[in-house]
Amino acid sequence: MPLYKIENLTYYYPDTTTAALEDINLEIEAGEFILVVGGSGSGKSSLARALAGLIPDFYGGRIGGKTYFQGDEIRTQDRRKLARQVGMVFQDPEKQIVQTQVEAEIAFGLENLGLTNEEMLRRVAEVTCFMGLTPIRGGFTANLSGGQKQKLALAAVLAMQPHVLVLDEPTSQLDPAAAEEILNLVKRLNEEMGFTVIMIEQRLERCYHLADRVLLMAGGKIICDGSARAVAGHTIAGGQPFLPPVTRLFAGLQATSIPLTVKEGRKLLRTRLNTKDGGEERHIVKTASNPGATPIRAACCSSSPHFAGTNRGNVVRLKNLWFTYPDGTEVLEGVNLAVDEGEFVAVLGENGAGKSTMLRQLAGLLQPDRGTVEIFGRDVGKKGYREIRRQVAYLSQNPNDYLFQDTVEEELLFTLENFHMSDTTIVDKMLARFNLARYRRTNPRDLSSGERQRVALASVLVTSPGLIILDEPTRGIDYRLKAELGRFLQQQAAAGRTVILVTHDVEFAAEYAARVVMMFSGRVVSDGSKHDVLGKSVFYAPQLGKMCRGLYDGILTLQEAQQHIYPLFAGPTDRDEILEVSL
Amino acid sequence: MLEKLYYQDKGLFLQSFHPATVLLYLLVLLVLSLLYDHPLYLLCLLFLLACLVKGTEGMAVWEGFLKIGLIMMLVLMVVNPLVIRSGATIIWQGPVVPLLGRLDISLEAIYFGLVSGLRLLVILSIFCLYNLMVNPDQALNLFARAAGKSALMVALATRMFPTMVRDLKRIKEVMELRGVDFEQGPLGQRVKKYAGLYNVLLFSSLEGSLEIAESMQARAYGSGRRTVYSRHLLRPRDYMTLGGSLLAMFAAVWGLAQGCGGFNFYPVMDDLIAGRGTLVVLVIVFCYLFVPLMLGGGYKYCRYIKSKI
Amino acid sequence: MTGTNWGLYITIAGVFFVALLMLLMEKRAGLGARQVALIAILAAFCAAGRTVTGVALLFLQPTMFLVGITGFVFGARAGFFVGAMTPLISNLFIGMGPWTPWQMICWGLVGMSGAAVRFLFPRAGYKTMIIICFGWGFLYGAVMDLWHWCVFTRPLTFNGYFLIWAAGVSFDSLRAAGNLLFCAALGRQSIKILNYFHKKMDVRYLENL
Repeated sequence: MPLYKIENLTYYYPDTTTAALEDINLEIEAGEFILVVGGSGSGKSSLARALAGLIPDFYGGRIGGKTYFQGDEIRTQDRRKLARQVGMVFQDPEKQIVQTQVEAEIAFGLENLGLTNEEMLRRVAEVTCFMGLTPIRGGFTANLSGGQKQKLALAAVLAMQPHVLVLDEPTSQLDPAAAEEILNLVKRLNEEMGFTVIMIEQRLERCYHLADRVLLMAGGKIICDGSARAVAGHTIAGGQPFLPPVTRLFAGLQATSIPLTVKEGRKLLRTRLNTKDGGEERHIVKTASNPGATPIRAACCSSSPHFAGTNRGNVVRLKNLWFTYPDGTEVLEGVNLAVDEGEFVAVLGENGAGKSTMLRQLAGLLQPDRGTVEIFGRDVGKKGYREIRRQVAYLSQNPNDYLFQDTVEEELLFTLENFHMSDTTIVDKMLARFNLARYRRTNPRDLSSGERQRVALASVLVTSPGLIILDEPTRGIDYRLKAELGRFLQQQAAAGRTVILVTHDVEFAAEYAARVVMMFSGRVVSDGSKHDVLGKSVFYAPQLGKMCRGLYDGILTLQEAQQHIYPLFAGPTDRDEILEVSL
Repeated sequence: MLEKLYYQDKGLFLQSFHPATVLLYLLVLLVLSLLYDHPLYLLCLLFLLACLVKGTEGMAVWEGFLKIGLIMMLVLMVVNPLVIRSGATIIWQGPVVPLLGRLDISLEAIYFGLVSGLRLLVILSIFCLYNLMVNPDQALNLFARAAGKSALMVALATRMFPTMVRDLKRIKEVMELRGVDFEQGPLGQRVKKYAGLYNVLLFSSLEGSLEIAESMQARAYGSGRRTVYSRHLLRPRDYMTLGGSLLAMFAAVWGLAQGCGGFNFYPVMDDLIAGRGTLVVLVIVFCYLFVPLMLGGGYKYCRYIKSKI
Repeated sequence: MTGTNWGLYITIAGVFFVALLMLLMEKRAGLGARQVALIAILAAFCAAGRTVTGVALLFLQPTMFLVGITGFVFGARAGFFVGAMTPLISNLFIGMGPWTPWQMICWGLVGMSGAAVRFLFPRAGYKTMIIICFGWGFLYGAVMDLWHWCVFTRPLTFNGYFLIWAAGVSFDSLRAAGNLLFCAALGRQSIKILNYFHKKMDVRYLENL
């Protein structure tokens, strides 16, 4: 008997006319690791909620078809019984924690199950140890970091001792280190403890290979269901971007066995390189020494921090910037940075490296303790944001912060009015540019997350600013929206605007930025073209860079990889052995 | 700045009591502060509280409370003599004011204002001590058995409070960068500006509440009778403090019944020390009330006591 | 020893009264996950509003009217809980005191009065709420002065109460003006937003396809 059996499941949220789930048929065996991929609005989250019994119980709406869990229909099952067996972890750690204290939070589900105090004590102790939460067990939950909060949310679910775990993008709001920890835990739970795992995830490079099965969803339907390799071929054939970069590269070659990890990719690549060049190391971009290197804008690619003292064309100039928060933590320690017009800069670094603080200095929200911040030649450090805000667009982590008017159009007009700009023709242009024309009269709160972000971006870009500053713009958005955003920002940079963004997303930075600045504990430790900075790094490198490292140095983006690696596989001699079409 | 007043776990001895013990102890202090009019007793209470605050390393927080207290004390000292006519020792005869009658300032009324102010300081200090000694979460846990849902709502709201303040600040910045100057313009316009801020936060928070509800639902909230998770321990220090508090209360009530510790302001003030009884009762009551501090001293300096309590 | 220690009695009465009200309110069924989360979030919102309202608005607080409107939209129980929890939570951060129970009662009553308006005048809008909130600005002050009076003056005379009230009347009018201003400026939107979520509160009857 399969663990789950779904027959012709169709579901509409209340007051909607498009199906969130359409004619889903699915069987899930106990112990499987299932990865669900797809764009936003594809029905992944709805499927997860259906499996956890939240659809339709919690949401209402209209439903057709049947969902069986262990042979019984899920809707007829006792909620307590179901909650003991199926646990669900959600996307936003901020919005799952109920109690003020860590231990109380872990016990919350147990209290709901009506367990005895002895049983609760035992389970809380067990889970706290397993998850490594002992040091913070008495802590105030509101003060935890995002990663700790998500770990706590997982712990609170695990304390209920389910054997099925449903995870809805559990790492999308986390930094890479915390995300890694969560994914490793999930992997352990599946492999060592036999949990059935159904996970929705966007960071595919970290978990695609772990899945026994991958479900590709679009428009409320499962369009492909099979092993990771099989789905990879299908995904690429359907023109969908939901693959880890390495897999995406090789799936394009339609090889028989598509590599899913860097290790497999390197193995395959090595066979090709050995046969062709006898193991000689290759590189496409070698800085300074290589005359054929891609030209890089601005003469600021030396890896040491630098002053661009004489350059008058700097849009942004930070000189010896120091900052300490009132509680005494020193976050910026002598930061120097100069950015020119039309540059696209990504600032990378771990949590607490001072990235966001630097960004807030740039926007004029914080005053430096020492040093100067100049934007467009004006000293912002002393005078603050009022001086520059018309020329600077700032997008915070949460696009919802921007949405409060009744219609999308008013949202844009609001900014214009604030700056006393009477020319409203730009609104039409912006709406058309962001594909929002048809939502002109829609309440922005009724839009999807990707659309909300576009509205937020449009509402700050409506003043035609020269500098665009973004704080973690890729957090929680899918591959397709990321690509859209990346391309848009590239166009803006090409049009002479300066783009500076802070991100944890190395893949995004490698793909779209031109220059990368790495920060570590309050300092700029590396600054230069992305090939210089990311090409040299082992850990802060995109997946393709990791795969090609030492074999074909300098490759960072998919395009570069396609350009340089595809020819290797196009040799006539082994065409037959490699290019056997899968599927 | 906000977290300053919120309970902080410093791992101190005085923070290691069972929340019920602390609540009872503080309740006794509160009742005594309201029962006693005697300035000496109130001063002793203030001294006791100062020692306790010092023991919980909360002097900085206490200063904040005292500042508010002193301002309120001043108000009381002005209001009281103006309205009270019971005093016999008139030190200044004022004019007749409509509604209030003749403004006669008596020494007794001033004195009573002073003592009321002292009482106010004591009460404020008790609550300051509450913030320092009791983890609100654990205090809430005590009430969870009786009123589970209320306790849960309070916990959730407390947990969301800092998030809310953080969100508010972030949204304000975002709007400032979009060209809104909150501090400029006439009041009507300012309110309008804040309206935007308010809308964003309200809408985002309510959206968040649905997500929280979902997470609660997924963890079986509302699926039947809840139990309460509690991991409090009653140690000997708790029994001793509980005993001390009850005995102090008993001694105080007995003393008052015997006329020791009472104090009359009107028409003429009693002597500060009416007889030996007043002092004896004072010493007895405060010996009992000092139990937690004595235990704290023993805990700190004596290994044997430390291992036993 | 004065025979009647009203300060003590009124404080203790406040504690019992508020505890009893909370108990009674929660024993009635219908507090599901959505309701609990919504009430808590609104309470946190109001508490934050009460705490951080800065100098910019002359300490006018955009909070009391929202409590009233919560009662107006979600009913007496939600109004009471949001109201009662607002001072409780904010006092955790700005200073708990013996005044807390009475503040809780007053705020709770503000919420319940919103529901009463809805019950008595089903077609009332935010304009009625403006009047109610303006009135509460003064009423709240008057009730809290009652507490101050009981605790800090003796003997209890009407004159004493009047003087305390007169001392606080400037604050009261500021509060009332704030309520008026905010309810006029934000009332309509707030009712709209809360209604939007009110619709989401009850899971609609399931239809089978």
